[in-house]
Amino acid sequence: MNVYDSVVRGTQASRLILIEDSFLAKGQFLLHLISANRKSYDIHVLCYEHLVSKYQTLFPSLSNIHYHDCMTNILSLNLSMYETVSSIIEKSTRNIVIFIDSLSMYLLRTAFSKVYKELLDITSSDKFPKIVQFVAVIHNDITEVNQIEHLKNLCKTHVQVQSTNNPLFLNLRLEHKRSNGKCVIQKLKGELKSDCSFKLINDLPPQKIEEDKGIPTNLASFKLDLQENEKKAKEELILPYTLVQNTSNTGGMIHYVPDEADDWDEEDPDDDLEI
Amino acid sequence: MSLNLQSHTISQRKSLKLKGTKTSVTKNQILISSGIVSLDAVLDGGIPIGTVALVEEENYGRNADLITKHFIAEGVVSDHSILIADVERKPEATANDLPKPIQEDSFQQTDIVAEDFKIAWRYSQNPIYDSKPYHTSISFGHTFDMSAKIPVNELQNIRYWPADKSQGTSYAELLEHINTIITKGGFSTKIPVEKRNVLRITISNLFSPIWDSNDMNVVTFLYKLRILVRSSYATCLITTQAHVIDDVTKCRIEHFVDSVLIFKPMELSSCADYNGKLIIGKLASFNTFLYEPLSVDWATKLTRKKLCIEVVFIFYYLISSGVL
Repeated sequence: MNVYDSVVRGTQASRLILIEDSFLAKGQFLLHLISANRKSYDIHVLCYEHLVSKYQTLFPSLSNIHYHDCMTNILSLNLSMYETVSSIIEKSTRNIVIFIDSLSMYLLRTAFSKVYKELLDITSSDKFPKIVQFVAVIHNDITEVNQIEHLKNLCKTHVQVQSTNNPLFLNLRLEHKRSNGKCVIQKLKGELKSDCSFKLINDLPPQKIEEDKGIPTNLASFKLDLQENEKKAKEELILPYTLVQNTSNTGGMIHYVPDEADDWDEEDPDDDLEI
Repeated sequence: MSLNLQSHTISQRKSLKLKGTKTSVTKNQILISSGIVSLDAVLDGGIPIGTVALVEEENYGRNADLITKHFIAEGVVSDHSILIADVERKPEATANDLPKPIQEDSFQQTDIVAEDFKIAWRYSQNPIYDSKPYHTSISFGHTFDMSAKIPVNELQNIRYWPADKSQGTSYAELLEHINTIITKGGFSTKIPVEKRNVLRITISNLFSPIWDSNDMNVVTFLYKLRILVRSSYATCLITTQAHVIDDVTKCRIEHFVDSVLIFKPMELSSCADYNGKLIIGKLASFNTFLYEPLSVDWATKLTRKKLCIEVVFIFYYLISSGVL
């Protein structure tokens, strides 16, 4: 299963996607890729990290993307993430996808248990059925590891962006929890291009082409498979012993009529056995 | 506080006659079923009344959730009182998603032969034997089908915590709530009542950040909970995600509960038919100083309808996967 494709295209129903990145390996390009592939939804970006104008240059210029300035809000208005999201939902009519960049900034000023509760409420389907997906970026150099572990517990898909020696090359580690309890892990390597696209580098050994599972007719010196008419003939053939299955034919009996000169032996033939 | 629940005399125990319980012959305890017949066998018959069991789940599996639901469903079938405590999900949602018990009659063989055998024709007239594990006792331990649900109107005697949104989610409040239920509901051993019943308590997502631990931390909570449960006809099943707890806290938590079950994902890829490993961290042992750890590897097998605990022959898998 290709987790990367399902994350970017949105084919897997994952209500909460958590992108874990750091200063050296930024995960914002993933938001860019995801936003370009969600054309049928309204996208709302909660901007905690940069000014709205910066985000407008980062994301593709599409009419369905809306920005909400939460950075200046921090100083004046004290709206929580939950309140912001509910006000967005009140105004919108279509199904929406919400991006938050980044949760780490929000966590700086809000208690962790409150953030956790808010996320749980926002991603629960019975409260906000309009929210299709919630994508959160979190920086592992700012937020504590145990808090990220708690958040990973909430989400179905977790993407970790790891840095390599070359700042343009990034490693991705994607983890997707399936509904049957199994976990799919995918590791990818890619190059970040200037136009925000991410080119995957395939350094895995090419997979062996599966051999044809058919009957190796050319190897055997005799005929292995059957023609259509031969198969039909085989099906139609009634084997003599299968007649036993017919209950009308069962109940065979041995009829023995002893003749006059019959020598009947009363003695037990197994008498001498010592068992 | 007297902690002598476990030492009933035989006549006392006979007069109890609690539905859905059985007496452990070797350990002199009253047991209730976990709802999964194969898990009861692993737990030496069942979960003793008056104990706290902890299920630790690693790497986001579903086992803890399924075990909780089976535990509750078994309580529903046996007419036990139930308290569901969950801070992350609505406890009502858990109750609406309980597996349905399979009726005993459905095990009876029908004498219709499904198909004619072409090759093994001799066997077509043999009676068909069911190789599934039968259980003879009807009152103890049921088999459940996860693809069907218990209808909501059949749920009785279930209490939920937190009951509404405004209620706090602190350990101290839950303990107070359990204490009220045990004393007022007639589950305490110290208060004589006419008819005894068993109380099943499930606490899900222990150590989740939503728990408010300002006035009582999790370790103190478990210690006090154990004292409370010991002198009552209650059994508590706690589930938690193991990877969110730091090692020191985990050791302390494990110390203050009576049995510990750890579910881990399977690492060997060749064990594809199993979906996880079960490690017995601790088994409730009473009336003895001896503690014998089990040396068997258990595995969980999850199908669409059933969760099953089986012995896994790791050695066989090592050979077949080419490790040995």
